[in-house]
Amino acid sequence: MSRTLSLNLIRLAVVAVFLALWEGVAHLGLTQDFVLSRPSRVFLWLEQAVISEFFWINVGVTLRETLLGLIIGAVLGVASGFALAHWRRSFEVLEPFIMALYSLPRVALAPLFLVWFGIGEGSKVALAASLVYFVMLLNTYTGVREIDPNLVNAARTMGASKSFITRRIQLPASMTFIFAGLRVSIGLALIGTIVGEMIAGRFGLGQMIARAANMFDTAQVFGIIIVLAVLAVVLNEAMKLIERRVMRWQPQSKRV
Amino acid sequence: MMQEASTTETPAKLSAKLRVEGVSLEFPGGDGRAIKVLNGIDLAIAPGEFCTIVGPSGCGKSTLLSVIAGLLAPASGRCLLDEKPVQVGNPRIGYMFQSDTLLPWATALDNVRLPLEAVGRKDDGRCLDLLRRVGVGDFAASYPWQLSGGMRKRVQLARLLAQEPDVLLMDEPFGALDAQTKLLMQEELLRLWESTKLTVLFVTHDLSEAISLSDRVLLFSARPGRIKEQYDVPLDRPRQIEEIVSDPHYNELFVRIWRSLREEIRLS
Ligand SMILES: Nc1ncnc2c1ncn2[C@@H]1O[C@H](COP(=O)(O)OP(=O)(O)OP(=O)(O)O)[C@@H](O)[C@H]1O
Ligand SMILES: [Mg+2]
Repeated sequence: MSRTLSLNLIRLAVVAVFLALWEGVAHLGLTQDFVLSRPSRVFLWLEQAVISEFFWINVGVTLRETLLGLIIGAVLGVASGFALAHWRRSFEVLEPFIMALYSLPRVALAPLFLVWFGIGEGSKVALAASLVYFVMLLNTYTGVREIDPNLVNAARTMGASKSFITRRIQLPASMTFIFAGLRVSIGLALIGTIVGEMIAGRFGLGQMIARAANMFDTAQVFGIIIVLAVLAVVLNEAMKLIERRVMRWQPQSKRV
Repeated sequence: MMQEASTTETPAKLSAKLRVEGVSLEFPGGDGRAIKVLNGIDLAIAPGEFCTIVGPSGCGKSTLLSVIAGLLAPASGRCLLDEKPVQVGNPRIGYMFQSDTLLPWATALDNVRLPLEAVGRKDDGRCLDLLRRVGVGDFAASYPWQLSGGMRKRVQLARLLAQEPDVLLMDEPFGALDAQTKLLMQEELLRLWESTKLTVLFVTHDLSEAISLSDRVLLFSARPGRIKEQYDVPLDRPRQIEEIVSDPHYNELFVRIWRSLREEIRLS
């Protein structure tokens, strides 16, 4: 038996034991259903959800907001990181402000974003992007700073322009840092989106969770949490695929 | 016949491909005081001349090449290419760094293409040709990590030539190679140089290499680096690397340079 296969079998067993314990506890009446629900109810809800149009509309909304937040935050963050690495002086000036904003729990900005970007998808995208932005900025900045200066110097002696050096040396050289940031950012974009949806709105998995929790429909809350976990895993795998494609040149041992 | 070793004299104002005039430079040291690295370097290299620099580690050899390439501005003095001030990014000057500067994410061929692309040109046929000429034609599609140290040096040499420079600045290009590969590369460099009109300024720690390859050996003093002595190499061209070591001129020159270099190493 291969190593990964046996590893997956053991993982499966852990899940099975966990679910059995959960079901057992609920079955024996040790907890009340509105507190912990039980796996059978959660799966019942999931079964009904996957055939309802309403559920998929909400999945679509959350996915769109997350991806838009991720892309907008990443593009702006990478661009800012490059700009700040290029104009070193501006980073020195801005550093305390950047660090303050970076450390600030940005979900506290959610009410402001609602006012600025409306109750619709805009405010969720903005919140997700604001979480992603600073991680990508700092990662890109570090990535560009870490480049072996002689790679850049060698290109300069060849007569390369600044934009050529940015595109052909600095961008690929900082890719490792950019992808490390992107992997973290998937989770952050999801947090921003879900928190935004929970606070106000009409659609999205976050809004479904908020409504279900208000009605003490704990089975649905758990069901949506599972859906979110699946979403996170899928997004992560997609990112790994992209990374492997972009970083094709790397030795096998360094690949994700 | 062998010329006397001379202390630095102002080079003749005859036509020089590359001229260095009174170049001095200092770096900020750790304690805030400046460290003087280059101390009034004067140098003139004739078109097609092969010049080597030897000197103790840390005396400023790499720094001088960076100044000549235009990457570092000297505190005083200037560098002239064809009697015009050098500027960074002039492809007429090709610089092979002491460290490996191949792009790790680009194949050997893409690395060789780089100097052409940097100035908006494209000539894949010639790039492949150059890779073949330096003996790594079969590895055009390999990434640097898939190549041995010697092969990486060859690719860098191909990249240097792809730029079509008149002047080669080579900073210990064969320093990290095993003895056999080194001999082979020296031989190939000599053949290449003989078949072109290239002017070469070559830094090395290996006296034997310096003598075998060059027309003139420049001996640097301990830091702050200045040219302590110059030696003309009285060996005929074309040279056979394996025959040079048995030439009595070679041995005599080796001993003289080594004695002088040893003093500087002790000082540094
Ligand atoms: N960017 C820099 N900033 C500060 N000091 C530097 C810098 N680059 C080089 N130096 C110092 O300048 C001196 C000369 O360095 P350089 O690299 O030119 O020596 P080198 O003669 O090439 O030595 P080696 O033979 O070991 O390569 C060294 O003492 C080094 O510490
Ligand atoms: Mg050096």
